[in-house]
Amino acid sequence: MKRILEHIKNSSKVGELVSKSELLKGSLEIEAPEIEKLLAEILSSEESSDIKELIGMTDSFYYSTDYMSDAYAEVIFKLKDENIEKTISDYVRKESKIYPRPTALEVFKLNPFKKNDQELEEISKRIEASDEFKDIQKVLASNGAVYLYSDIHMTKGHARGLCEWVEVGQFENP
Amino acid sequence: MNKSYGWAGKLLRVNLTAGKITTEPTSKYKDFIGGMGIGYKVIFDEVPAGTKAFDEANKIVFAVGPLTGSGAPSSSRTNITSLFPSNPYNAVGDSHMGGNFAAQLKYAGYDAIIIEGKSNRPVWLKIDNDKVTLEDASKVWGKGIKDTTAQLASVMGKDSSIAAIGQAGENMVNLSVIMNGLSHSAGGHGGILGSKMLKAIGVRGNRAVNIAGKGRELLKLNNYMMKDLIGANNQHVVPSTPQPWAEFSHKGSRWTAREGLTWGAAEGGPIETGIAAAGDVNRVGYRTMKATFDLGPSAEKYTVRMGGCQSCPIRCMSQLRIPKLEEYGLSPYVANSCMGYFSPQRVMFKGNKDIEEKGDGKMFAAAIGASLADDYGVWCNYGLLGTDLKHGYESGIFKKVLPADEYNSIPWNLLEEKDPAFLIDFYRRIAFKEGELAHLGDGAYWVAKRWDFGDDYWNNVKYGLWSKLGFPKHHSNETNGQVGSLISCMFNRDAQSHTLVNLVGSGLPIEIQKEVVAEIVGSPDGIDPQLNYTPMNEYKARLAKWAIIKNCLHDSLTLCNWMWPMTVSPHKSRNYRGDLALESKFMTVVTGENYTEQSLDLAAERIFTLHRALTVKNMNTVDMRNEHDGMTDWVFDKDPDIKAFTPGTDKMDREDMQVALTMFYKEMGWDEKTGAPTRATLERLGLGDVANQLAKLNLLPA
Repeated sequence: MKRILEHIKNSSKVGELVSKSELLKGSLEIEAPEIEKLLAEILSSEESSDIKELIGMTDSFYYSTDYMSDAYAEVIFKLKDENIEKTISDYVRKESKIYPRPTALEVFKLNPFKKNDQELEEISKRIEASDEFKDIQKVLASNGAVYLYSDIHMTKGHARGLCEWVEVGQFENP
Repeated sequence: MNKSYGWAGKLLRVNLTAGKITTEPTSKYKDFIGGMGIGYKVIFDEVPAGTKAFDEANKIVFAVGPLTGSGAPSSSRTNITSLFPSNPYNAVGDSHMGGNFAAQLKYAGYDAIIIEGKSNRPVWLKIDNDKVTLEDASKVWGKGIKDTTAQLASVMGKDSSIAAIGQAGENMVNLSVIMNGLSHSAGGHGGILGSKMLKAIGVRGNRAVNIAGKGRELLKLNNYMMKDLIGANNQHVVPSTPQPWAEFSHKGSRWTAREGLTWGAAEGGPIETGIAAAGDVNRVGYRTMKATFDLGPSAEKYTVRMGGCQSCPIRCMSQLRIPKLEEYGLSPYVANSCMGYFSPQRVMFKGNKDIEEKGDGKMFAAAIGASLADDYGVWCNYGLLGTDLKHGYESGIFKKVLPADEYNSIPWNLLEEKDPAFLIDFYRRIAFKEGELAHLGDGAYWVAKRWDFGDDYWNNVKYGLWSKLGFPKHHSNETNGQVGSLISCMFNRDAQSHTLVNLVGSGLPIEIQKEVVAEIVGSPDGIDPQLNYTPMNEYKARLAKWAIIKNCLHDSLTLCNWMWPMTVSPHKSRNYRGDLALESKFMTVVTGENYTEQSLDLAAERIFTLHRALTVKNMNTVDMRNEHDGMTDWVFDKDPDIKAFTPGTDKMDREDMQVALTMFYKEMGWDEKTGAPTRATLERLGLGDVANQLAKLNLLPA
């Protein structure tokens, strides 16, 4: 159990989820039936209450909340379990709702998304073309920076004002 | 004499006319804490009504507080108080500097220096513990701040701190600074020292600040703050990029450390800022990578390190080495933060050409301008210096008001070509008061009057002039609507209050911010989502009062209001709650006296109300609402196609703002019609003597 716990914690520190399939393949040289039993024990034990499980369509994933936030885990879980368009759209929807704010497209060049310009252009086109993401809108700051927002949670005027503040306004009023 | 804890216990009084230096006990100012509080009290009590900034009768107070030099984090701020020359009434103003000066002053054994009178020859004040002398400054008079600092430090030793003025201060340019440590500047009061022919103050101390707390009490408090509370610059508590440890992130956050981002010119090779997670006390100093935040990605490879003030774990001063600067006749080393870098970019309003690689023009203009302005000691009036240049040039006014020879001698071609060499000529003219153009250094109110700038100047949304008194917005209507607007109305220069903006900009979702505000003022309605403002309510008035008095508290303790208060925390386990009683916990441990958040807030309310009383005295009117607290029209007229209180705009409503002023006056216990302090409130705050003086001047509201 200690080896699994350490592996999950160390992976969380560097921003990675541990998948059950990887463990079952013997990455820690523990037999598959034993893995299932140990994971069940970890998830039910008070002492390892920081370990959380995310159950996907084809696999389950584990992380430690001591080293990884629920929000970050949710994003990388979705990157593994869902298509990139839905992951990005859900990320934008969440930001539009809770902060509220539009999301800079350049965020998706960074960890954990790590998409390049060309990939982002293609993803943007697919989002624009799909009815599933029709609430996702684009807005530009005066310096040309591109932002996305969900019109379920935010008006275009609000989104434009907020991205203008982050890109330009805050540097005029530091 | 009883041992003094926290406070050094005495202050210096230096009369330059008589060449007399005396000490007196600090105890008479204890109700005013220190710093700003001492400054206002001295100016109110000792500077006669009708005095102007450069008059011999004016005084200037350098004051620090009981926490300065104690080891409390972010506590090395010096508060400078005097009449403010760029203000049309020369009403009182504060300028502040970080660096090491404040701590050295305490180590030398002083809580404040009151400078009065006027010398008949250039002098500098040498404070070496108990040995305090006025020295001949003829060898440094006429020199820039860098030379002056180097020469005086060579006399006093490298463990001293030198606060000096440059040529701008000597020439009594209204917009001039006092600076220590070559980059820590206090804007607006340099000319006061120039008028008194006091070139510099050098201070060296080797005593300790006495701490009353036993054992490890102070260390425990420091560790608590470092581990559980502190974020990055401006107390931003989420990183600017998504990171594994963080629940939230925000692109505008100054917690800019991330994997792959380095101090590229560090000695021994680049140092990665990396992941500097909440609670990791050994990496707090890496969190704020301000060089690229302020100057763009070009600055990374020139960043030697991030520096800052004595006793501050947040390193917000970019220290750069840019060899190319030598080709402009400047040192390759430059250090600054925020406005120090942004201001020269405003002067270069036509844009910046690339110098060594694509996109580096902004950084070069900022570095060259900062280097020049900091040597001459030119202040920017929070960016308006460049705005005023732009208006005069683009409106064609300069062609009318400048003599033709002078106009033709100005290298406008460099400005048009976006060449930062323009800055070399520009700052020299301002510092040496060369010609008509140099009146830009008088400040916005005075140049607008002199050159007949019209409504297209005052009411221009792009210029951001906040007050007809000649100062700009500085976290105003874009910062929680009426709350930021109220804060911006209350001082005699740009509001330097960061209490509110640090919460609004913390990076936390609105629901958490609302919960925090509800705990402070009794309702979540005190704060709105950014750019989605609602009409005024009493909770916003309470929040404005809270923000201002915390600011006054910090400038009196003296703590850095860019970092304090610890309103929020980066920790989910604390539900992101900070600790607003932390100042009182430090005060109790350091002084051995029992302070609470409430008792300190009451003292700060006293100090802020004294500022108001002083403003009434300086302006010789009780009608603060109409004569002082007004704002320019763009605040109400911007975004003409949409109404106030529509998502996406921060335009305010005129009637609503009058309601806001009335509610705020009521919260402060001031006269609701005029906004002037009443006798009852002054007496409640222990300011009966102030009420008596105002009554004699017929300046108490009916």
